[in-house]
Amino acid sequence: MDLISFHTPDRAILSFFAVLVVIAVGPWLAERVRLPGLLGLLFGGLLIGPYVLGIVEESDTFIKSLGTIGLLYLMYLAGLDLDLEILRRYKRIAVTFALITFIFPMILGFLTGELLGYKTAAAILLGSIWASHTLLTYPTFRRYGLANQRAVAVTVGATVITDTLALIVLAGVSGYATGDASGIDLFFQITLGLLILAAFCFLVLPRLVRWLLPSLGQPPAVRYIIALAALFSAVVVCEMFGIDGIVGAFFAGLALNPLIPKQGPLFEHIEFIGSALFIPMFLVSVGLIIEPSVMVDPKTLGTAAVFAFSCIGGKAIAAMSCRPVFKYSWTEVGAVFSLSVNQAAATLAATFVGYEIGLFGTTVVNAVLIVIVISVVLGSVFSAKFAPRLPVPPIDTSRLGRRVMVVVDEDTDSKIETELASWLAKADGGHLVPLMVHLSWAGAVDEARVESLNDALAGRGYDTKVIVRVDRSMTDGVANAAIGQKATLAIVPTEPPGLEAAVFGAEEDQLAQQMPVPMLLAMLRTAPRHFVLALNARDLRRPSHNVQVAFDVAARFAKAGHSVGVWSAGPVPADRLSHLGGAEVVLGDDRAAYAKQHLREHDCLIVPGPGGASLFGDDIPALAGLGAGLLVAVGSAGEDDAVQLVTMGRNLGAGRLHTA
Amino acid sequence: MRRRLLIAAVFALMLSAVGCGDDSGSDAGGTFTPKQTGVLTVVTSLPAPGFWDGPDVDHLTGGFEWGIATELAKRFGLTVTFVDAPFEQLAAGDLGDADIALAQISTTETRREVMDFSSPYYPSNAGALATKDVELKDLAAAKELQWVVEESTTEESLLQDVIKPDDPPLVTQTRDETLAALANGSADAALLDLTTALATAHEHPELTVPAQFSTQEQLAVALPKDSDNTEAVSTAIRALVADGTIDDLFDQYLRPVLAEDPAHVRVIVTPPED
Repeated sequence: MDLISFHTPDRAILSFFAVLVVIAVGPWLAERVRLPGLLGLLFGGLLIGPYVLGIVEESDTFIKSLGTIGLLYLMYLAGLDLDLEILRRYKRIAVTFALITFIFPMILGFLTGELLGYKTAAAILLGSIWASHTLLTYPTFRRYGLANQRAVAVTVGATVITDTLALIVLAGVSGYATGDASGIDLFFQITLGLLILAAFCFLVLPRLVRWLLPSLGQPPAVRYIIALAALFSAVVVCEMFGIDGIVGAFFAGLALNPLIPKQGPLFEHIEFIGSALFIPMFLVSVGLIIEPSVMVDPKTLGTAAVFAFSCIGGKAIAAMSCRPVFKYSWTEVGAVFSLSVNQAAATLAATFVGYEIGLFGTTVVNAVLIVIVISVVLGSVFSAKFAPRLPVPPIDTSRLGRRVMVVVDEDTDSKIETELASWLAKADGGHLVPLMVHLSWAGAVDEARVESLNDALAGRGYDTKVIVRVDRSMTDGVANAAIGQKATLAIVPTEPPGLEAAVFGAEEDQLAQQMPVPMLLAMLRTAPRHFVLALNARDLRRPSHNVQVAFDVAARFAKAGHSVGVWSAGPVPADRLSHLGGAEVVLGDDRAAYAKQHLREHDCLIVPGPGGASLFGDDIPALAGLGAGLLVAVGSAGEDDAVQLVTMGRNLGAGRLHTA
Repeated sequence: MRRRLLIAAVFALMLSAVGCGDDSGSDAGGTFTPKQTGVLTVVTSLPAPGFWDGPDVDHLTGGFEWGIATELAKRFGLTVTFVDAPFEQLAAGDLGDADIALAQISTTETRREVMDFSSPYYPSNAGALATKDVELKDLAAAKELQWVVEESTTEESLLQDVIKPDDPPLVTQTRDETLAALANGSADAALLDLTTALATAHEHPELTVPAQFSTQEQLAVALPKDSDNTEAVSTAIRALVADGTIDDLFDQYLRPVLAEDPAHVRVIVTPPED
């Protein structure tokens, strides 16, 4: 008699369990041998797949469905995660490089396919696969402080365009392979489909999400579901026009990129669920179609060698073209190559689609996987060699709005200051960090109040959560939180100093001496509609870091679409004005008198802090006492107060000048 | 200059090594080399209404799998010829001189040991075929029925290992014997591939398909074990699925001969195998 009888577990449960084990262990093992985690998932899929252990069948509908969702999720996240601000900053040069790094591998890949006797559609798809790239080695460059290095930033910006172009090619090829139309009909069908998709993604979807998030999306789960529904709505539109869903997923990611800040909780949720489950599911499901016997077959290895030649050769030619075209150094060329040679997510996605629509067989898929491994190893070797040799650019002050910390009051919700901070963050594609400082001697934190503040923020459409800092003083709390939160700018609501401050010194002055990042002291009664940057004679004569911050802040309001003007005690450099959206300059002698006469309730002055011992010296008390709002710009503590603006003193007299 | 020439020569050599390995040429989806030059030989098991229409292989007029075979031949640039063979012979991996088998063969681990399978072209649940007075709403009811099943089919394993009826099922060699068992009352219900069950119910109005059992199995093209043609056939099948040809063939040949839409048949979820 058997004491214990064993039962065969449910097939779907066993498959899912095996996949989860691979997701948990595969990347860890791969990283132990210094390979990217994704290779651990691919080879884990191979291990549990039909050709080795046979735990999961290639045709397993459950895993296959999850893998398909993972593929869409992968492309959605790719679109969400791209740095569109870098593309905007280096627009012209990034577009040129994108075309170069797209065209060479595309042509070589296509010719290779043709010479191998592939169908034209397969050859074109092969070319587009090598034309895209994945920024696997970007973290290495970031670690060396090179995110803003010219060659690195341009390559990062170009990725948006190369991947978009590659997906447009994929849309055409899959439309041809799976539809009835051909020739000019197909061209119009795909073009119309892409236009409608673009209109839906870039015009309808952001408006819809912007409306839905504040109205429905206060609980985090609902916000996540809205983001997920946005992804699948784009996929549905895609499929209605016979375009592969991954194009819609990528476009949806790009469209919602500015609405979902990368450091916000919603992005964190999207990324967490994607990288924990759906994307690994896709990678494991690709692993299921790897056949070890095919992978080591001489034909596969030969195909992989030819593919590697066209992919790596194409990317190398493109990188080398940067030397004559952009006057890059050889070190920069090496850096560009190490960033753009990596084939991973986009390559896998397009290859998988090619396999699913019957353009590629297992030989091609296995050969592509070999090329992915080669490209990743090459990318790692080159980045390790060239990243340390690149000159580190000066600290980036141009991303002032990257993480804007705004101090919110425990009693009021600092609505106006928060809105102001969100404008500044929006201008740099940054994130809003509301800070509540709770004094350590004041008892327990009122959690209900924090929650109601969070609800109020979500209700106004901000994807963020209040950070509570318990500290012994407001000054310490704000300064320490700025360090902990890696803030790039702090907005501190304040009031004009009273008698106590006059006797003992203002708390804001102490804060300015401690503050590790630039800040704005905000004295606002209503939400500003028009900003006036007001520069007195000293600001022009001896431009301090405070002046630079005031200019940077004004430029961001202009970039966010707000009306900005300039009042100045003298001529302002033309290149400074060019960042202010063609602001009108009014010349005068007494800015307090000007403000009193011309500025009203919804106007707001931006003035550089006066420097010296007190931020409330000069005419600041007079300006604060007027009906208009006032922002006092202060550079971070330790900055040389006499930093000369590079461009100050040059091009004087340019700009549209008016005398008050 | 010499280095560039060397690179070009290496590239040309690689291309010729990969692209010109055999006289059938190369394709990104794999190459198909038939046993008989210019001819795709397809073996099936008749009768199979809806899948193969016609009394014998010399008088075929259409059918779902007939359409797939014809499309495959077209894609490979071959003419097509058909051979008939008993199902148990095909299920055992003996395809004779045929290049491929298209005979509602579902992919199972046991069969994978003796033959290759292409990518699947159709899901394959098991369907219960019974007279209209038989009620079958759940697994408990299924256990109480007297079943009949054909030998060597996946449905036979499903009955014995998963459904486990109270009385041992009758095992038959042919479809006619199965139908006879239902007609003479020696069995309450027959377990067949769902599509076959629905097609048979359409032909025999006194019969119905009260339920289907989810098996997660799929129909695929069978090829001889370790065939060099598996990649090409798989790629072609995926292309037929992606471009809607399979759906069109289903609508043209299977849907009209099915008693009802497979999606409308009650699904009984089966427990894991022992």
